[in-house]
Amino acid sequence: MQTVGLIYIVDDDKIYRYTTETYIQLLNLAATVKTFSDGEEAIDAIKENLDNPDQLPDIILLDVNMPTMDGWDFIEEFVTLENISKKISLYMVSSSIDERDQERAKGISQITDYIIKPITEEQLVKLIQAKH
Amino acid sequence: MKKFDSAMDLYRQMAANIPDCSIYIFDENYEYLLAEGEEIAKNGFSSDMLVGSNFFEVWPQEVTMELAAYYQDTLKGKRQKLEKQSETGYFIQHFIPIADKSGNVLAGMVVSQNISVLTETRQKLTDTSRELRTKDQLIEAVINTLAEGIIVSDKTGKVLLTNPATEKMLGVNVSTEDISEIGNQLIIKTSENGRELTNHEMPLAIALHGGMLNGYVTYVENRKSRKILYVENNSRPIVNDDGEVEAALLVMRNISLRKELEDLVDENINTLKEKNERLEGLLYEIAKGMRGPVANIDILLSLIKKTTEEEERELYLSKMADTSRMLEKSVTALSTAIMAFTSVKEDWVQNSFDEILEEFRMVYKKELTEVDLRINSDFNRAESVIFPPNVLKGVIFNLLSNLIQFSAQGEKSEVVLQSAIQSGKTSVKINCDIKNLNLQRIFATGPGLFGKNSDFGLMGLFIAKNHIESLGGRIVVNSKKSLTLLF
Repeated sequence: MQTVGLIYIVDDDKIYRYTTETYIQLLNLAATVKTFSDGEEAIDAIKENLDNPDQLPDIILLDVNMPTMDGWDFIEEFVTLENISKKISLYMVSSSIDERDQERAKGISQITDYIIKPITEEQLVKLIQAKH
Repeated sequence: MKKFDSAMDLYRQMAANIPDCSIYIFDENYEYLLAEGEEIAKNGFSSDMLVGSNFFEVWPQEVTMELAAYYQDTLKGKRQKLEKQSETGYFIQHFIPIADKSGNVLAGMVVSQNISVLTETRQKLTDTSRELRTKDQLIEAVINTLAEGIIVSDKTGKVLLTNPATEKMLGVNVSTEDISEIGNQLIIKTSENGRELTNHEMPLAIALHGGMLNGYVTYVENRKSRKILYVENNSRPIVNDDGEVEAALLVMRNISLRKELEDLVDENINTLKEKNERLEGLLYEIAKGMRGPVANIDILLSLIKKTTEEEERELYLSKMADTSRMLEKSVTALSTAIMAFTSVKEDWVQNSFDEILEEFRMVYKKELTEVDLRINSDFNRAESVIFPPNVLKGVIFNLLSNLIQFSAQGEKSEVVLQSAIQSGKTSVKINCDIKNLNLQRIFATGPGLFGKNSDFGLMGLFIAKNHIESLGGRIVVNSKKSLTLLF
């Protein structure tokens, strides 16, 4: 099974964070999983480690609708970050089936894909494979 | 004859120079002494044929019968005038006695003039005048029955024409001749920004300066009655053949009702837009509130299937139970919210604050005692509010049950609800003396239904807020420990 170093799960749903983290660990898809309950916490973590690629995520699973800083605000700030020393794959993961959200995501080049919850085992495996 | 010789030339001159005219002079024997003028030839005679001839011999019998009396009376010294229609035209004949200084009649004179053209013209004038009068009456009738107010003013500001609709519409006396007197009774403002118009900006003044207004809307207030209306103005200059402005026409239409309807339509569109936006937000929350937990259950099921450890299985099952409870709460909150969105105002009822609170105290008696939370109230200023049945109860139950959870700190807490009426709106202020409570933070989570504090069971708060707002109310967070419900 292929694996990556670090995955960020950014979601305000505590149970979702738990189940997805458990899944990733169970399938041994990442060496480390870090969870954040809103975009602000996640962007702060990235900013702190801009020069430290080991501490930067390979993949971010980002929820759209969150308190404090939602997924869109996170991306707005993320794209302004310069000199990120790692290629990060960003996946929007949402329970929203609103096509406008999906269209909006398509229009942002930094977003690798838009996934509608629940994220399945096959999808998780594919994300990891895509990194290799 | 000799007596007239000096005058004869003069009479000839007159007859020759007066168009369509002939002059006859006859003596006491009715013999013509002079017959001159272009009309003689038209009757088939010449001057020579008539001079020396007798009146009774020259003219046909019907003529002599008609005119004999006039001839005789003339010789008796009487001045007469005869208008008559003949085959050759319409004539006016003046019978003038010619007398000496002593007043003795020496002869008679007939001045006959063909006034057919004049009569024709006069008739035409009469016909035209009658026609104009008819048109005038018609125009007056139309103007007087028009719903539009009409004012015509000359360039000095003198009112030339107005109609009853103007008086009725503006509620002012328009019998005055001075347009400025009408203006003085009114406050006229632009409808866009409510600025009062200057004299030069008045619709009639603009037209008097050669300008033209089409559908210019003004806000008009009667100074005396304070009656307010919206008027659509159309004004035109009236110019003469030289292109100079002689007067101006103003046509006014009362569009207050239209304006009111337009405002109502705008208001409805805005309300609808606002409601649609809130509905969109609600649908967003439904997606999150329903699909989120369902997705979690799906993953938890997969994890249960995969694990062989009993401990892990128990953990997943407990998470699943949490998710189910969350889903249940979410479904209840969303159902109520959806019902509120579809609520018809006619079905709204009086909701007694006391009754709702009493019911809450009964339902949550055990929990209130456990957390030592006292709920006090003062609903004297407003005892109830009209709202959809059970919605207000749902919102208050939601808020207070969440406050119970915050009070679970083992310390005494107090919540006071106080109603009031401000600017026609009913409000309920909720002051919370609860340690660590931060309402600003709770409500700042925005549309996130399951915020950071989802484990505190606050999932219904956003729905409650959305719910109230969807029905025209508001939840205003005053401070960390105070909020107000506005209806």
